[in-house]
Amino acid sequence: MKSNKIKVEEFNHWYGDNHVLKNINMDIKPNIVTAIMGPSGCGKSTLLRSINRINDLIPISKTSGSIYIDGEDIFQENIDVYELRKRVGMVFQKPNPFPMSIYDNIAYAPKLHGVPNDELEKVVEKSLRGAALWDEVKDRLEDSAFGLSGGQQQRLCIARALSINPDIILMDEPCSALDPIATTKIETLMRELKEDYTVILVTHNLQQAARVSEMTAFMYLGEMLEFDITRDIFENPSNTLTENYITGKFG
Amino acid sequence: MSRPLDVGISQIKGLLMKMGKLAMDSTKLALEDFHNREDNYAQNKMWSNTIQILAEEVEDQATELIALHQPMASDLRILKAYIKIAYDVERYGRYAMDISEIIHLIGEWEPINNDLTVKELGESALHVMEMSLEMVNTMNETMIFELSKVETNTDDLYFDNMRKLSECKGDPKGIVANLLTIRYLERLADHGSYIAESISYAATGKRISIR
Repeated sequence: MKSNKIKVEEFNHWYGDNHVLKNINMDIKPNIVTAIMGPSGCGKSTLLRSINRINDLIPISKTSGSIYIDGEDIFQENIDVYELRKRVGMVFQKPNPFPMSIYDNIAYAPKLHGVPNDELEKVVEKSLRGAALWDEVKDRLEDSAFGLSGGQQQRLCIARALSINPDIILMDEPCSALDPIATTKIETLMRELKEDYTVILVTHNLQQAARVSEMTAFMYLGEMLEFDITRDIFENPSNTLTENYITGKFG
Repeated sequence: MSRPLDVGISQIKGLLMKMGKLAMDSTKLALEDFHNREDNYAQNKMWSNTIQILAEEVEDQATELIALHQPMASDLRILKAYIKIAYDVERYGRYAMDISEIIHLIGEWEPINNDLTVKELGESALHVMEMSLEMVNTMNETMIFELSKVETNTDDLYFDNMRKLSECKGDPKGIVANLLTIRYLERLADHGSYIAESISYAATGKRISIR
């Protein structure tokens, strides 16, 4: 039995007076894809963004409880948030490449983290291979990243996340702006990524959660109502609200 | 407000009930053939073929709904159950036809113990079939336990009859007719229990075996 990679314990989050996450408890195993689903505004993206503390950037944001990564509380006072974000990469809903070349998009963060120039080429190649993009761009690394298709741009963003060698990858609706072919490529990639990384996916696409994840959580109004093996959630959910949500009878 | 998926599921249920009614009529006619030595094989063959066509229609419609709506949870379980039930009801029709075929193939026979045990077994099997179709219609999974009792009774009657027939020195044609008929009736009841299991799974998500 694998030990937990991430443990969320009695975790609460507020934006001002708005209590958006309520006593969340969740154990996430390493090297699997864990999906988080729920209706808009349920707090799933907030939970995801708490795992790399990107919510800290919002001044009215406050938390209680703990999130442990490999047993270490990421909300303890002496934690180095920049080191944390190196360990926890993130991919957003819309591909957001930097306005620079494909090569520089990948090399940018490692450079900032002090990777010497003579090692950068290896990092770029490894990251692009990891994101299944190398074969498509290896002959045009100096071209602008904006010249890539939407699906390629999203895989570039995944490669960018891999470039700083994280062990967790957070994905916030990574396919919502992509066509079915690009979506299939990203989903295939997710399955490959979990060999080396722990992947957490926020998605509105129930079929995608069913296809790619091993565990699925259902959130509603800031609470985690159900967290179970994906097949059980989609075939026989134990909570009526989960059932109503995934069968489209919600509201 | 009904979801488009609900409309599709309801249509499939309608097809299953239509198949079920034909299967019940066909089994009753087959038992009459057995007891009255009448040959309605052509009629039952036609009904069986109709049931088979409807079963294919159920499969097509269910597959289309899965492809178009990508159902989850209870919706998915119901469609999975309906596909299996279509097969079970198709078997109802086929066994009824098989019973009718006996007299068609071997002609009349002398009664064995007045063929009374077949009557009792037939009533028991029909009861199982009726209950299974009631479960499809109402999605009342709690009926599975009552159905299981009747199905067990059918099995008991079958084994009892088989033992008696094995010791019988009557008309060979009668022995063959009785033996085949009780076997088909026992199988009919088996498929009734499969239908009950499918409905129980669709309604609760838990798999219960009453076999």
